[in-house]
Amino acid sequence: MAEVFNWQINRTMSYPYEEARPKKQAAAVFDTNKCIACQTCTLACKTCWTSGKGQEYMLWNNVETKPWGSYPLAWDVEILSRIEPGSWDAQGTYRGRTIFESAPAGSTAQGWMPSDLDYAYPNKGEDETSAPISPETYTLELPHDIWFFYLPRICNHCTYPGCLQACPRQSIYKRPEDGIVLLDQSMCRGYRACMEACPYKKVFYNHVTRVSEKCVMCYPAVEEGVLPRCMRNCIGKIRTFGFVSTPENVREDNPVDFLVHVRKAGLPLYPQLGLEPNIYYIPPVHVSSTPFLTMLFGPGVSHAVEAYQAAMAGDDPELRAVLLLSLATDLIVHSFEIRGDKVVGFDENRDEIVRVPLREPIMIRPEFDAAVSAYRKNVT
Amino acid sequence: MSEARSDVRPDGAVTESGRPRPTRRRVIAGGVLAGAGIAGGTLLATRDRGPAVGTTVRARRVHGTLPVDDPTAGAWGQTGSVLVELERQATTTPMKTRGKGVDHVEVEALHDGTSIAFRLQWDDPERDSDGAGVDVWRDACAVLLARSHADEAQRLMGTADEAASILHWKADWQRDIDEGFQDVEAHFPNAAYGFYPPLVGVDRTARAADYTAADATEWLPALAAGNPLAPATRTSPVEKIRAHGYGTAASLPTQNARGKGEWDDGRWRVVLARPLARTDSDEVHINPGADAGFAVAVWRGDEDDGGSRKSLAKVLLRLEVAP
Repeated sequence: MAEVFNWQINRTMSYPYEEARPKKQAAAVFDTNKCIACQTCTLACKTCWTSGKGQEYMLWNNVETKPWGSYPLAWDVEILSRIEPGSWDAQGTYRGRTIFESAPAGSTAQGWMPSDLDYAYPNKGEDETSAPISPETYTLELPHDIWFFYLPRICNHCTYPGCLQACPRQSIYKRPEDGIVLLDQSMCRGYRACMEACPYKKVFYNHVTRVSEKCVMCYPAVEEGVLPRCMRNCIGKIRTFGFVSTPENVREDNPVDFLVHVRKAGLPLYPQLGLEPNIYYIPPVHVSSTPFLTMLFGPGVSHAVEAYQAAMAGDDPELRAVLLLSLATDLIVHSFEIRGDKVVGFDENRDEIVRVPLREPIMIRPEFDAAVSAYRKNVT
Repeated sequence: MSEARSDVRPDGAVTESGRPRPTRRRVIAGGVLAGAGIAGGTLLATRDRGPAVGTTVRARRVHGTLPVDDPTAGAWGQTGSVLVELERQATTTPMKTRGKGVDHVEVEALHDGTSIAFRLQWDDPERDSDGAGVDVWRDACAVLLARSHADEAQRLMGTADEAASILHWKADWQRDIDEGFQDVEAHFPNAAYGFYPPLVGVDRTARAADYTAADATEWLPALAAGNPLAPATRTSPVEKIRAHGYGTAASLPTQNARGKGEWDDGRWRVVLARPLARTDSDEVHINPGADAGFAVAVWRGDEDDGGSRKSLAKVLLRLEVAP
């Protein structure tokens, strides 16, 4: 095992390969506050990549309801129960064991293998709240308010992928140009070590070809500067796609860096597992269980919620501007700049690709439309 | 062994110095006819003795057809099979840490001057031949061939400098051949699906082979990428592989191995065969009259064996190929 630095847990950790970061790391920030679980992302991916025979219950993108939802069943509870409880110290350092540091004898990571049935209920727990809702039990005397939120998930294209390190034949590789993790379909022999090792359970088994498959982050699109399909089709415009830097190389005009490093509003999913995942989440502001959110997103939850609330309240126009850029274009925004009352997004060559008003102009029309002799139901 | 220089006829009779000799079955039958007391003693003695543990297997020459498709043919089991000791793989990760594995495999070999065939037998209480399930694992076995039996490093899937040649028999492939390709419906009998996009015109449940017929293999990504394991059409349950160490197994360009596996009453009997001569440049060539190295490995599906989670021969074995 090599010693590598994982900035999300603020310490070095053991990993089977030496640290080898890509030139750029594809990443995205998902705003859980805006997700409505319409599953358009799920279908956008499904119809593009996994509609073949043998892929029936294969969802590279899924949206689950937390706290009860999970696909495959109990994926997070299963891995958490297999590593010893850990804690975060005041400096944001994880004091516990990652999946690599918890590896049982004869293996390189702690893991588990789902069953066919675990994939058969992708909407299990949908819209179920954290506590029962009924006149008898709905009371503020509960430990926290009743809540749920939606968690859209794709492959995290981790910096230290569990799948990649587990494959005994290097069929999985991380692209040096953009950090996208791919599974070579011509090389895989269906050992499923990757499936067992990925704690997010985002590698799948094709029942017909009998080899494994995973999210490709729509790399043909990304290579052309276009967003992945699950993001392009997002109804709620919750996804900001781009490239994330390491903390020492942060570029403040990079939307993803700004959300993750500058405002620290975007947080990794289960950072304590040690993979340095590259899909980040703005935690839900309405969930009163900080311990639950900390378990999912690490110790920065309270700060992230406050930062997001400040932006929504108009106290942080810059953060609000970056959030407004989210999916304002199908193209990848590499940098942004606020010019007057608009935020401008640029591509990799610093050419303008989108311009969004910081506040949508509002026009109030008379209630009665004389031209058609009718009353308007909506006057704004 | 006294019959080490014996040859075997296709009908199973052993010859020594050109003189016909009764088979083991005939010895037992003869004993029974000779008298109950003697017969019982003969039978018990024969069973108790069984194959001896060894590290050398002699591939005897048969005159006639090599029984490559029949693990119970009369030619098998007539001449000194060897009990090969196995150990759980613990050299590379993932290691075999689940289950007790397989301790012994009974191995014998025959050749006809053109091809060589091995028969492996081992006890396995379950027949695991499902390759379609996420969390189910198939039974399998393999014979590794190395140029020299003196190069112990070859036992672990060959070395960087010298490739090992491997015959890999898979229980799910055998089932695909015996019963037809085990498609989604075979694993999920109650499966229901509206339609598969490129196969809308297919007026029955779409089959994997329909994608090839419709020139739409991109819906089966591994097939489209040329993965030799992906086709739903199989002609042999044995894959020919070359390897330069752990993690390097790759199908050889020429797939001309044959074989057949049968599970009966808690025991697998599997034949794996290939031409003696190499058909690909980095394949091990087997010469009649010369020695080679070999090893065997067994995977137990009921113990989640797969990939490097397997039981394999403790040492590199000697293969004596009769002239």
